[in-house]
Amino acid sequence: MSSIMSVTGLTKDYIMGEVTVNALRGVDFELYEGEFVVVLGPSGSGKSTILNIIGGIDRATSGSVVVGGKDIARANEREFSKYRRSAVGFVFQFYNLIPNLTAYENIVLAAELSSDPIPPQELLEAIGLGDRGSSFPTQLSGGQQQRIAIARAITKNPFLLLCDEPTGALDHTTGIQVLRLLKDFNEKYKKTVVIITHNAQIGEMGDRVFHIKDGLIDKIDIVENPISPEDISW
Amino acid sequence: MLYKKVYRSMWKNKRAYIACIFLISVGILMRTALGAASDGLERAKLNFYDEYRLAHVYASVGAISHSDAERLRDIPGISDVTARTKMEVRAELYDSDEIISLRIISFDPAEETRLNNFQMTGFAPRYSNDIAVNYMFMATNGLEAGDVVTLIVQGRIFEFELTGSFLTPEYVYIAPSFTDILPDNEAFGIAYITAEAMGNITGRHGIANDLLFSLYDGYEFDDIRLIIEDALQPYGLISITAREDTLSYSLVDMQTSSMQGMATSMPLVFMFMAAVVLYLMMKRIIEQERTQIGTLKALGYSNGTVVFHYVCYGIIVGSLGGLIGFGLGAAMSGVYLQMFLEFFLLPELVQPLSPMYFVIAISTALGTGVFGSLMGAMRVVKLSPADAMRPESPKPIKRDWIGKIKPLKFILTSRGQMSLRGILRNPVRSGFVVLGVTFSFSLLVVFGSMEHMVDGMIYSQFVDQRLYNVRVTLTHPLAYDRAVEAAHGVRHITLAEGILQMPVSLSNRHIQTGASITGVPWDAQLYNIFDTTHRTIHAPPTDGLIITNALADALNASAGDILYLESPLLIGGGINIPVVRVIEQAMGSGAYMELSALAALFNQPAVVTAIIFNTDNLPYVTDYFRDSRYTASIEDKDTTLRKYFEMMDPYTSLYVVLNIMGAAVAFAIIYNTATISLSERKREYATLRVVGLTTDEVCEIMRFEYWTLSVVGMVLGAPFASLLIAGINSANDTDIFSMPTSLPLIGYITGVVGCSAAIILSNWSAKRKIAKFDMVEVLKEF
Repeated sequence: MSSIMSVTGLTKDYIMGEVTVNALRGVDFELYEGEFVVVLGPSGSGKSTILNIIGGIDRATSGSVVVGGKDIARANEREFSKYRRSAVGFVFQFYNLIPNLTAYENIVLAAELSSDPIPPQELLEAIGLGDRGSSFPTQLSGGQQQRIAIARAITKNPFLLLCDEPTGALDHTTGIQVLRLLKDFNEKYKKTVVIITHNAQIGEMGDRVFHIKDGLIDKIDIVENPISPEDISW
Repeated sequence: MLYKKVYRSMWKNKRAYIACIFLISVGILMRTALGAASDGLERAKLNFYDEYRLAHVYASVGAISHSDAERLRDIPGISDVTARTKMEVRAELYDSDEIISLRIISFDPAEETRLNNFQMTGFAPRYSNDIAVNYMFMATNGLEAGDVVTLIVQGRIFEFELTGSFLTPEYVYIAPSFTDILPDNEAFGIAYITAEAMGNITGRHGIANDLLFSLYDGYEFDDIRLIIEDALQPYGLISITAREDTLSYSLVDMQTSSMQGMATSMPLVFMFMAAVVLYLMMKRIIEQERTQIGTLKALGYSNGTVVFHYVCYGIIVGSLGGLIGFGLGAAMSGVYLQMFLEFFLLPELVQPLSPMYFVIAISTALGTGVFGSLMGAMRVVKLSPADAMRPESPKPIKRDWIGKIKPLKFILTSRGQMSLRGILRNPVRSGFVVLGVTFSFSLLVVFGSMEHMVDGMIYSQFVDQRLYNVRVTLTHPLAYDRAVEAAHGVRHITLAEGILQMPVSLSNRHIQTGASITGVPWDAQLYNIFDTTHRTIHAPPTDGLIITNALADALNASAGDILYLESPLLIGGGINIPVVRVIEQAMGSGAYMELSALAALFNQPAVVTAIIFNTDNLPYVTDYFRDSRYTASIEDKDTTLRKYFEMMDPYTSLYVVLNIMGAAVAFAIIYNTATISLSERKREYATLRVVGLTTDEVCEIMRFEYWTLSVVGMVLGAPFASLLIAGINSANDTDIFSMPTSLPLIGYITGVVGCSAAIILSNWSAKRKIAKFDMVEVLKEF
């Protein structure tokens, strides 16, 4: 597998009044094409900060994030937007759908940004919500909203899908359905997926598992035989 | 796709946006209606002046032959001269008890190119018994062509046949004089008769007493004034006036310029408030949609796209406000023009709704919408997607003022202290609420005061100054004792006095103007020299003049200045006379002096030109004086006031509209600021409810905070209202009118009641929202 991202010496400091919090203290890793990565760690360990920085929604204090030969940690605002628009798709714990747009429109909102989108209707069918496209987010269950959020992230056809606690707000059954969707995307479209979670069981379905602790990567496990989402229980 | 989000979000908060659209609409409505109406009036006026050859200069003389007048054309700069005779006479109409004054003016029917020509409906007089009257006089008195108009001149009776009515640029506004400026179309009119007919009346054919001059381009009144004065001295020059100083011209000019001023300044105030409200709304929306902004940015939308998305709210609000305001303004301009027709007699009041008005309306409204929303939306740029995903960190609290002021702890409950802290810790939000209430309050005060101020202006003229019931103007001056004694001899006259009015020319250094000096007896009980601003009465001076503020402005004079007084009645040229005091009067322009002292200036014993008196039987004394050969006109104060209020009827509905508009604007602002304030504190109030406070207790905190800010807003609104009215007055102040500067109590009551009603309604609406809070949902939001 070829590398799609190289992260070196990544640090991130938050200044809160007179206190400086070192959220990341020098993180190094590579991401490869088509792999499924699970990032594990307790609350406050820095996993969301890593996701935000490699997703181009936050800036590093130091270090580099090289994608396609370009260091996005040094990108200007325009380059940042372009990177987010074309390279990454985000899935959030609380879905973050636009409440005034229908399920279908939420997906189209992202599709319109891509030059090579996966058709929104095709994705709606694929996530099993073909008949709920005209529903507004408030008319959908949490699991349905998260599936729409995944479809919205995927429709841009990004090479990297970043998911921040995608099952954090869901029950077990719905959580498994969501993980299945992510695995399908990973396998069907050969796209890299990074999931952040504090649920160690989810790590078993990844190709690699990053363990984050106190702003550093404590260890990286390579999973020889990843299990299918349906075999995960918590 | 983002457009759908805009529409749906606006629909969800439609009341707030409608209020904002309303504010913009009102501003644009004013701009369009006043702008189009004033331009229409200006255009109609200029066309009329030009087409009917309004003279540039007016001169009044004792007597001049037409042939001598013709020679005045040789004066460099003068392009044309028209000589005519003008006099005021009593008139009677068939079937009317009204005592009528007509200003009759002669003209030569054979002269094609006369100055101050007139536009006839019917036929122009051709024969010596033909007469034409001004249009409003004919209409008000229900006259028709063929009716008989009887003129009474020095006891002699002349019967004329009415040939039609006319409009003339010289009398677009018709009132007897600068001291008597209310139109009374029933009792005072202008009439044209042929020069031959005038000769028959005066017994002096070929002699004129009034001259009109037109000037070549490039010449001004001041260039030729001295030359004309010298040329006319042998003919008993009485006055020489530029057309800008004539009553009709200056009043029409005043109206157009004041409307143009209002059309520019008033919309600015509304646009400013609309922009502020939009800014607040955008700020609120952006705070509420932090996560959505973060999501959009995370999806890859650029800062520019997201900012433009929020500016779209302003574009829609601005466009709709502009379109609605323009539509209503276009309709209102027609109503305004119709109202002007009650006062200004112009042949056509065209309504020039050129595309430029539309462009100005839309661009102003759009500019306001874009500016307000852009200011609010610029926060988006600073928000990084990752920050947007997190709730806003609370601002650090620097000082606790409430805690330091110990008595407050005893006066206020914990909820009261919370409210007060809420005010002090959010100075920007509190400031905007105060600003909204200040603006609303001042607007209500000003709109609620307008009618009372205009009425007050009239009352001060008629009630505080003129204490008599009836004034009989005499055909010629009579000895004071003889006239007053004769009046006292009339049954039903309870108290009578005389006044003397002398038309003169007054100069202060190089500034000269025509004026009327009113001589008032030193012991007058029926006539007050009244300062309407300071509400003081002044005794008539014997050693100088009291002049009105309007005359003082015209002459650039103040107390202590020495004026140069000229009159053909003064033997041996002019005299110097000091200004002893300047008083403020709401209407008219003039000067006052003790009656005997004034007569003495002219080497005359005490004489009067009018008798003023009180009566307990008005019909009897009116009949008595109608039959007197000394009576030129009779003014019954109550009838004059009644006619004035009848004439002002159309304005009453305008004041009602203004008051409703003021109340609606106030409500729009207060409701919006309250809604914004509530939505910003939704989470805080929901937390309080979770803690265990009832809806009423939460509302108590909100009410205390809002009322505290509102009281501050209203207190600040009082001086702001005075500033606003001072601005309006400075636009309207002229040589003839000056509105009172102090606002009536009713205005403040309107402001307090209007604002309080809007606050109560807003609080009630907020209470309903608080009661409906889904606490779990609200607390999940950030």
